[in-house]
Amino acid sequence: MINQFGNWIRESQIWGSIFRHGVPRDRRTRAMAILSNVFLHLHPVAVRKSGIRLSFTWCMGGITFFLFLVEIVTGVLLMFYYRPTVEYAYFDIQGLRAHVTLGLLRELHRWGAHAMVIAIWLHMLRVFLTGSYKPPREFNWSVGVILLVLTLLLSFTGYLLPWDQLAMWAITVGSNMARATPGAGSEGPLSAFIQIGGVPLVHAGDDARFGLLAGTFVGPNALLRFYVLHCVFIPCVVTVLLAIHFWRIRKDGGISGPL
Amino acid sequence: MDSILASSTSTLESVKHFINVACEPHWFMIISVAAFFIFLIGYRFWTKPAVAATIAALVTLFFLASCLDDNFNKIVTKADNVPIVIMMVSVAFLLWLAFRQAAINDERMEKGEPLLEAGADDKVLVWPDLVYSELIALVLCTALLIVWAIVLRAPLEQPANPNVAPNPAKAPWYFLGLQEMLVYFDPWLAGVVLPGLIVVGLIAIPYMDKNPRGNGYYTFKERKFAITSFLFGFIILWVVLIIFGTFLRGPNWNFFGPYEFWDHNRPAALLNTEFHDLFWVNLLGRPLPGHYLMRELPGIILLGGYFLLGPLIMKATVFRKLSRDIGFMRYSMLCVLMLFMLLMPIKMVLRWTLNLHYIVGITEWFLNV
Amino acid sequence: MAKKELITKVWIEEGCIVCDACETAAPDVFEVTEDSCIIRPDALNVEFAKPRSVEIVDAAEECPVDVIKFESETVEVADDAAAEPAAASADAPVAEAKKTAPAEPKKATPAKAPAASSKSKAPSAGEPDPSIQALLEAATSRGGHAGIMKNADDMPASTQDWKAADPKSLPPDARQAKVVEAAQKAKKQSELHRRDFVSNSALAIGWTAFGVGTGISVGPAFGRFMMPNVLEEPDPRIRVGKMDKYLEMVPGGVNEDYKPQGIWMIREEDRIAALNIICTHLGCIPNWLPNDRKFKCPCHGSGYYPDGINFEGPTPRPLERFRIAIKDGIVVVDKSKKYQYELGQWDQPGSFILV
Repeated sequence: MINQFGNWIRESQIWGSIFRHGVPRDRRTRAMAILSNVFLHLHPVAVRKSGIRLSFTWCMGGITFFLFLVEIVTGVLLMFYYRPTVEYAYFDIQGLRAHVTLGLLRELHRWGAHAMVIAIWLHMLRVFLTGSYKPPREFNWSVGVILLVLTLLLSFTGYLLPWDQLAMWAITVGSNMARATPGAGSEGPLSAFIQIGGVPLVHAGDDARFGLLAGTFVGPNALLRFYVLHCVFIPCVVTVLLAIHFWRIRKDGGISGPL
Repeated sequence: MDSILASSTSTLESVKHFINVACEPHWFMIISVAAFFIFLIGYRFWTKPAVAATIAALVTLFFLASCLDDNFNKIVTKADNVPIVIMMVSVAFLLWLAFRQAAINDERMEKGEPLLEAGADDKVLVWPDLVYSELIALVLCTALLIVWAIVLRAPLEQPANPNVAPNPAKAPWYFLGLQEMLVYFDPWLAGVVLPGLIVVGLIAIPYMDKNPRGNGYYTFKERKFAITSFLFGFIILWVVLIIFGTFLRGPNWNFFGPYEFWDHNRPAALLNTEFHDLFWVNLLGRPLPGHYLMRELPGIILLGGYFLLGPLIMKATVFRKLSRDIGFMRYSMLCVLMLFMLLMPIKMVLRWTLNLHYIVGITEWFLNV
Repeated sequence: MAKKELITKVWIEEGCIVCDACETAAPDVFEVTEDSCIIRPDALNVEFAKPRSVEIVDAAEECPVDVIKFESETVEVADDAAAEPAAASADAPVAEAKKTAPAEPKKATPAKAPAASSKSKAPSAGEPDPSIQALLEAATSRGGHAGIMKNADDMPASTQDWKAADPKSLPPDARQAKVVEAAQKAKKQSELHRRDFVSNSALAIGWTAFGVGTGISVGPAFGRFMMPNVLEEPDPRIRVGKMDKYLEMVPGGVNEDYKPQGIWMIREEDRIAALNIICTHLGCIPNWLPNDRKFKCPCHGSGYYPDGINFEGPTPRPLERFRIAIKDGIVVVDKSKKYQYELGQWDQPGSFILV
């Protein structure tokens, strides 16, 4: 009975239009299952047996990607309840806890972000210890390092959004470092020499920190700016780099192994 | 009975005091560095399952016993600190796993046996093998994350107030290594140049490392220099500093032992010393020269010597073979990165011993090192 | 004795979808190019293909469009034959070669042995075609897997000769047809080389110029866009009350009444000044510790004396002072003008009120 029903579904036009291959029972259809699916075709058809041992890869790259997806899903949902203005931001976050069913999503988002930072470090550690950055994978390692930096920046920009004391001062300290950028920050070395006729060109009103915060202190403009960076700009860049990262794993010979 | 209790309490107190002292910045770093090298030298012994399990059990026991202490408990179970505990545990476990496999592989290579990862040609199909393990990993992670989210509330402090800084005011935990660097260096160096060099250095690793061995399998013997220097940066100068910044830095950014109460009013007087004072006043017994470039000349010469002569001396001694193998460009790059990395522990030591503020302090240009 | 299926010939028919599956399964046999899939030159040699029989069969089964075809024979292999070194097979009779071939290690340069054997010429049924041998030699001399389509100019003379041969004079075999086709393409490409160079440089220069031009013009424009011209920031002038209460302070005293506005009023021997409460290290707000008589920053532990001079912690310089003046009997602090000690500005008029 169940078999019959299953067959009826699998022989229907709808099913056939979605899945072009048969049930993945033999090598050919299993290969087709990977090749013909836009999500699964991130993978090659076959991989080294030693390459997918958990003790070899620790699965950390995969977990990092999974956590990135978790962050996107929970983050998009949180955006429905959050307004990036000084008047509302803190109380919207408080309201998530008080008035929203499953306001737990904020916890998921925050702990997921922490977990992602840990996972990406461990992924890098694994890749280093197995020497997997060596030729032909040099370029992919570089892409990975940039992804690591972007992950930290994602976390950092997200840190300001609750607009509580923790957020405010972490960002104050962080953005003040920008003020010390050599040549581009008003209190950075060499900036004092960039001047025309005694008028300094790099000052508190136009330096790197001002560009980051859109003001001279962490205020409403900074909140909006970090919100856009956190929700739109950096995730877009990360997505593009992730595509390159995954593509290059395939093109550089898959998961590494002894030659 | 009472006297036994009293004496055991006092023993406990003295143990706690001993650990508090051992966690002071200089001891903490010295112990960490020593433990790091002892582990690397004897990695084949330390990673034996029995030995590793014993160490893990002892550490767990120590950790649980310490949780009975109020001050320790409070800081370890603080919601934002839980990820750091998770990170410490996973880094320790995975380091063991990696070095265990490295030890086995190294032994096998000595005997001429195939590696753990050998058999590169036995391929398995992604569907079903890999897709199933991915599914399991995904379900496990989701479950863990949900449990974590239910058990621990995400912290939300008082609304932002630009006029009152919390005490201590800490960066997000993953930047605490940087924040700790900021204690020893000026923001332009610790906040801009050093992080930039970390990123550049990481990207440059595959282009500097010309060692063809150890590609795609765990080993330590074949890549001793690469692994030691990378792990020194990652474990000592990043993870240890994070632990330090999270657990041991209290109000007013003073140091507090793990069993110490975070007293906001504890006095801690430190008077900074400048290198130019040490040189001109203490050593030569003369007043400071008027012009700032003249004043800072000894510091500039010292730093210049460090960065210019350092590579040459290393080339003639420890790196003789390496510098020949990798060529001039790679060697210069390597030296710059290594010297900047080592600047950190050097400045830390100078701060602890001499209370040294700046080696070169051209405050007029904001150019302080 | 075990039975084994050995490939004697493998070729690709029309209809390849360039999916990568075969190269994944048998990387040293198949090479997926941009628009098609070819058998690598090494693998045209039967002795090279035989040890890879299992992979080739896998690849053929995995091929989604079933264009990989092969011919095979079943032979009986002694179990211990696997231990014999493969190099011996070169000059040995073909029947024996069949036995030992499965054990040939994959890292050995496979084409070398047959190439050597073509000199000694032991005539037998399985003797490879000399023209193919020449091609193999060429491929091997540049590192085994180098495709025949690449760098045709660098090929040794033997290959050049072979390339010039009339394809029609060669046996009508599918695998050879592929090789011929590829070689002709390579020849054509070498003719196109000069034209390629011109068009490639034009393209490279064009794109680089476009990229750099866009970067130079758009970069600063976006940068400027990110700098707002009008700020909604509070009035920098703050009225801090009458002079009387500051006159009552003892020298070295600190008044925290206007900390919410960002000002500490301090009293020195002969003057009153307004200190900026922002730590000069990284912008935190230090706390006034009356018992220690110092300002102490909670972020990184910088410490300042009551007059604002730094003495401990990582801060590079003293706290800043604001412009201060008396207007209509009320003390007014202007936060928009700052005076820095290390620039010698604390003695400038405006930075203090004489008592």
